[in-house]
Amino acid sequence: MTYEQEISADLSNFIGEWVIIVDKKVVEHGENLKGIFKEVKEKYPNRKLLIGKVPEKGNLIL
Amino acid sequence: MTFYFRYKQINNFTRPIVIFSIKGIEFFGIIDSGADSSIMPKEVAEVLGINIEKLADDEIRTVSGQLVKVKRAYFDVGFKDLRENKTINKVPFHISLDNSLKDIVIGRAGIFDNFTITFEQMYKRVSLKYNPKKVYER
Repeated sequence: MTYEQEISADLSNFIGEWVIIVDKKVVEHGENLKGIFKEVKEKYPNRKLLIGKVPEKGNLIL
Repeated sequence: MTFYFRYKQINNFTRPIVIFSIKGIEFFGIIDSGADSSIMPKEVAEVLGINIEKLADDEIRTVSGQLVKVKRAYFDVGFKDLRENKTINKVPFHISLDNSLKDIVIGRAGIFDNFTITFEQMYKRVSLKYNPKKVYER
């Protein structure tokens, strides 16, 4: 049986922004990653963080 | 050992996104077989406590032909699922210094050398099968 990992949190309200996810929930978001990271580290000092930038819409050619 | 990741649906579009860790922090980023190496914006390097000034200078060319000045760093990158985990050492990353490259991108160098990576577009998932390259003597 295969186990598929996925980001279950709804990210549709955070397109183009950094998000920090704790326990599958977006706990902070914004354009300044350093700022929100500091806040989240203070609020959730020993929790596992998942950080990423929510991709923007449109055809993506990297 | 194979890690499976479901494409992330955001509104009406999807992206092949993988979850990985560097220095104990998990990140998600787009996996891109067309990218020679991985890329992270400088904000990510700062969060990781990297002194960007001390890194080697480099340049990358975007698909539009634009040359972008970047820094080069190497990170141990971990993947895991419920049962297994694997760390790939010294994966090269280019760190973008401006807003021209905004996303975290997992590219080929160091990653595609160690995994057979399959994009299953019809099932909206990507799999990374650990399969490091073997060096055969002639």
